[in-house]
Amino acid sequence: MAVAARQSYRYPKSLLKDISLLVSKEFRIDLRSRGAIGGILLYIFSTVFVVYTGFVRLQVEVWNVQFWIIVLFASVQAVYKSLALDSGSRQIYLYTLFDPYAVILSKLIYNALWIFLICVLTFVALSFFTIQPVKFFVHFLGSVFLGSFGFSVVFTFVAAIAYRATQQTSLMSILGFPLILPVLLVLIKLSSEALGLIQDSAVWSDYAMLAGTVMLLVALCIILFPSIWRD
Amino acid sequence: MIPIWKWFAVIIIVGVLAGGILVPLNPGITSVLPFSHVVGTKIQLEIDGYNTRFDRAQKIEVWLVYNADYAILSKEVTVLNAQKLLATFALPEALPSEEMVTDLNLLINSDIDGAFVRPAAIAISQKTANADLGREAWSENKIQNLYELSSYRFPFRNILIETIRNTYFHVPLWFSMIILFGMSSFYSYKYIKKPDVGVDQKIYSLVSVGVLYGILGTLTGAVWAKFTWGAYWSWDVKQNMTAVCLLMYFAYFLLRNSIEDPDRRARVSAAYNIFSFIAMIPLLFIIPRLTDSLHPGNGGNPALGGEDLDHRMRMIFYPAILGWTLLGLWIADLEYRILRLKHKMAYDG
Repeated sequence: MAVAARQSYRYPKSLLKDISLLVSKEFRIDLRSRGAIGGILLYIFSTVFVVYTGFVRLQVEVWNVQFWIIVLFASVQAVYKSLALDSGSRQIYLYTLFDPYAVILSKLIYNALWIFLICVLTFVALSFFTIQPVKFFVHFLGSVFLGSFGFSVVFTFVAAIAYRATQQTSLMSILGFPLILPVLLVLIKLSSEALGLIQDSAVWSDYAMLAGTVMLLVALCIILFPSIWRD
Repeated sequence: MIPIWKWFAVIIIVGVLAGGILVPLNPGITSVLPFSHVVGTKIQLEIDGYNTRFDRAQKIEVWLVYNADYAILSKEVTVLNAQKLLATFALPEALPSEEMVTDLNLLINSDIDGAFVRPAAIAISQKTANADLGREAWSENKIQNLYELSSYRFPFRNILIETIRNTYFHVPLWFSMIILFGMSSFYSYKYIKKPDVGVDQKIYSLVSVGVLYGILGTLTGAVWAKFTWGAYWSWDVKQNMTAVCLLMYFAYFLLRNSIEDPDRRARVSAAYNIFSFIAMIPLLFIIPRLTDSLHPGNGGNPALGGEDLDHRMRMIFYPAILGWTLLGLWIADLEYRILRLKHKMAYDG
């Protein structure tokens, strides 16, 4: 390859520019091919419908866990699709043009946005079909926001690992679910506080812990990504 | 010549096994009947001891203890046999507090068995509170001249009794597992910096032994849980977290199996190894502390701190961790050598 990759960590401003370029590129690709968005929408609504027909009356605790489980499975799908859309030659093109840090950060941000959208859609669908039990909306929003980042980090990392392996989707689930558990457990606790299920005076320490875990995993993902991604 | 650390491993493990299994338990009280009483009555308690020699004692005092200042001494003590005792008390008219019902500890002070306590042995209730009268009556005799056993023994704990010996197997296995996984993460980091087949083989052997220790730790924990908590698996938070950690590392092997190219396999699994080790830390240490857990040392307080581990047990416990880790490293070393030989045979032979 004659073109050398841009070392954008030397010039932070160009790193930001690269990231925004890549994120907008992913947006444009997804908007053009309706298949991806449509697939996720359909997945969410059909899952919620199945939940509705199975339970009919959803108790608040069950609503809580169902919400996060649906988000979990939908995010696995979404992240897998977004990485699968980059075919082999496009990957090489990206790798030569852009600094790997820019690539991974853009993927993380883009997937986080996607998962946030998934959370919103799941919330809308669940509230439409079953109950709307959220008491402290800002609290819920905060946990959803942190949760999107957490899910995005773990699943992007796992997707990058599992991408070129043989049985991809099942491997992604097997690798991803144990790793997502520390994030998921704290998320379920935080959202059950937002739903008014439990009272906890140490809410801020839970948030801090979740934020700390997510930041740690983000840092790890960024550091380890170049070595995974090399072909 | 056999390296000296392997000798250490053997000596420590044999010592830990011998000490862990042979050292006798402190005398203790296994049951006190009947349980509920009322103030102002004359009661007779039937006390069952463990590892006690009541029949050979010259002097036995039995106390009902409210706290360090308020206790009553038994009026009469009858020894039935080496493990059974009958103690008669004349309960005063009031408790030294305003509570309607309270638990009392039973203290036995024997010249041949030392002094030992059963916390919350009986419950006493009162209809009307008269704290001043109670305080006077309860401070008539003061607990003093407690005998001490001079021999080396393990502490007696109510629910654990003999199973306290498992502390030298279950806990060090988990500690060693974490140390082995930590070492494998360190080697993974070295691999990513500079790829080398030997380092990858080291990572693989360390993770294998770590997973083996994890499985053994889970099994020893399940057996311990059956005797103390009643079931092999109680869905306790820490049990669940350790199951998840084992899942993570099983997935490591699955990942290795699914990538054909050896260089990419080593690189990707090294990255996954580091990621899962870091993700494991909050799972094992932080989350169990947030919730109520049956495990000692969780639900608020750490287990290695002052009160939870008796200093007599610590003398064997810390070498046990070292011994099990060294043994694990020995097994990993053997595995590494096998891998290296296989590799040589495949590429040179």
